[in-house]
Amino acid sequence: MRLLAYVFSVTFVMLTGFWANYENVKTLEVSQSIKKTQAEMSDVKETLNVLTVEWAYLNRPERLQNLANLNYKSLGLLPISSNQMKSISSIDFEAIRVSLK
Amino acid sequence: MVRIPLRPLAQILYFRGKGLDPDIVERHNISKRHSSIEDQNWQRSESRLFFMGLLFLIGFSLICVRMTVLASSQTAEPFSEFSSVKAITQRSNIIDRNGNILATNLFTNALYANPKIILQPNRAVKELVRIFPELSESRLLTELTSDKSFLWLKKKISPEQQQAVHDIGEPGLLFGHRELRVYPNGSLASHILGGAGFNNESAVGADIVGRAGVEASFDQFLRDPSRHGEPLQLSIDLSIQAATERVLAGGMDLLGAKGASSIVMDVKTGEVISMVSLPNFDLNRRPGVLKSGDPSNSPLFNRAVQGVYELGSTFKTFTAAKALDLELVNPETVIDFERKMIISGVTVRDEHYAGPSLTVADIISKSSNVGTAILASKVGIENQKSFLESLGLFHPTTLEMTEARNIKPLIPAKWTDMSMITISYGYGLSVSPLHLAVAYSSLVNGGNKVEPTILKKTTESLGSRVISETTSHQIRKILRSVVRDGTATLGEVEGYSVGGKTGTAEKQKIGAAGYDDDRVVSTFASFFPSNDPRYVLVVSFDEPSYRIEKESKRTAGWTAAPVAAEIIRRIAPLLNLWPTPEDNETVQLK
Repeated sequence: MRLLAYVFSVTFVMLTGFWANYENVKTLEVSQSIKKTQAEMSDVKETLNVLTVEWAYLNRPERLQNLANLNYKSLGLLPISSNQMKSISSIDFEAIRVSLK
Repeated sequence: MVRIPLRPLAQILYFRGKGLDPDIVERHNISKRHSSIEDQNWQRSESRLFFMGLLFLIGFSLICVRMTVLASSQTAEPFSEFSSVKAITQRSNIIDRNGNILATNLFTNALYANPKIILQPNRAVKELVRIFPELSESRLLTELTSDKSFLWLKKKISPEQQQAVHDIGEPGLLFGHRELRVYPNGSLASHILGGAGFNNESAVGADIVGRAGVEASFDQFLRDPSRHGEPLQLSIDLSIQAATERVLAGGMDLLGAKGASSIVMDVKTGEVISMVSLPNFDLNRRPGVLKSGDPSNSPLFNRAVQGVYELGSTFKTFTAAKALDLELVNPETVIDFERKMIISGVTVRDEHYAGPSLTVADIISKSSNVGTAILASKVGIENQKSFLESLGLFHPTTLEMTEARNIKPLIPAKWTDMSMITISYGYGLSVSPLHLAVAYSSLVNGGNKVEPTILKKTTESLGSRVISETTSHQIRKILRSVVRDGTATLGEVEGYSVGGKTGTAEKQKIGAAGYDDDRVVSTFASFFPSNDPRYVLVVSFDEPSYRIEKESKRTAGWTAAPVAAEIIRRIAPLLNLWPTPEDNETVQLK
């Protein structure tokens, strides 16, 4: 009986030791991969930041204005103005329908 | 150890004498000895148990403490400090009211040299000059062959330049990590943002510090790592700022003015939607501070905030507002006057005499000095002073910019009758265009003081009452008539019912007393739409002048008003304002 208890407890200690070691190794692996991911994230964040700056730079009003001026022939873009704004009720749909026919 | 004998002779003899069995003595003594041994064992095991218990208690307490610590600690991403190293050192971005980036950071490198470990100085210098043509070859050679161990070469270099330096293959050329403040919009909103520079420079890094504007006034806020890079949102609207700057620059060019400024302000919240001061500068290449001469000649000078001028007839509105608020007159009250009059002992004259009698509304609409002076004499010194003070014209504005907090209006040391009369039409009291925008906002928004702010707000923030709701309504009507058929007809914008007041103030002569009629500051303080004002626009030109048929035009009605109208035409649709016909105006719709 006593022998059985010894065998059982020793096996138990070995198994738990094995399990603990296994978990430890797994945790270290995960932590390594997290570090790697964090480093990647940091790099991606930096890239994202550069792209955001570039996007803001490309969309700066001065450049858009110049592009609109350059492509005036094909696009005919003009600054928005109050006389371009009319209420829907002021549109003569009937006349448009007639002209489309 | 002294053992007590189990069969002591004296006791044996004593028992034998009595005829008893001496073995009893032995057994008695054996049991006595056993019981004492047992007692000892008992005590020993008791202390062992106590000791063990103590050990277990300590062990369990440690586990308990650890578990409590774990349970009560904040859950955090493991190694989060690793990923945020760069984010923490970063200065927060500055964004406009719609989230567009106004200022942000980029990682870059600084180039420095350690002349002691440079192998081929001649080759290094040649190659460096090829990459950076602005470096002086001879000076660089002297420095690189000196016995220094540290030498800055370039503060900011691009990745391409860094690669080129790497390619030289010189071990003495080294790179330092740098964060660079970048303004993607270049010179746009340059006076608001102010710009930034480096402090505490070292090979490992440098602090970015704000030099002026919002960058300086919110320096601590932008650098605060506990905010985790949360951006600073301004009340500025990028597209409106761009449109205003463009129109104003065109106007300044056309009018040949020395400088120009404009402010668009929300009349209910005091938010500055756009603020322009021309000439401006590129934030990414901030010019140095002017060492000598007039600081207002530097592009760094923010005319809208720092430019303190006598703003002329725009002040007539304040005189009329107080007279109406005190119910001394109403807009229809007719006032008789002459071209030249002595009022409260001061001689006042009108350049363009529109008399002999005008209503109060017409005095403002036709901008009569004499008429305004009469109104001022009715209002009196004390009322005038307290009213102008309540509009915030005596103190620096509360705009969150270092420049604004340091600019105090120039008020007369002693407020005499002379001051009362001249100030009533805008001479003798110098304020910034920002002060004027705040005062006009307070007058037209229903009569409540507003505090200017550069930060985005979501709620109205009306302060104490300065004039009654009725007076505010009357003033709006009078200022509307100025644009409809007064001195500012060129300020009219169809559909937006602009109201406003022009002001052309002669500048004081340089190095002499009196005023110079060739050099003026022309200002147009306007608001729109006049039936329910939403925005105030102040446009001001420094020394404008242009000629129509050999006649020089300097007055605000010819200079600031048409430019303001063009600005409104451009920005009103961007401000989501729908053009509406006025009650008595019909708009032809097809």
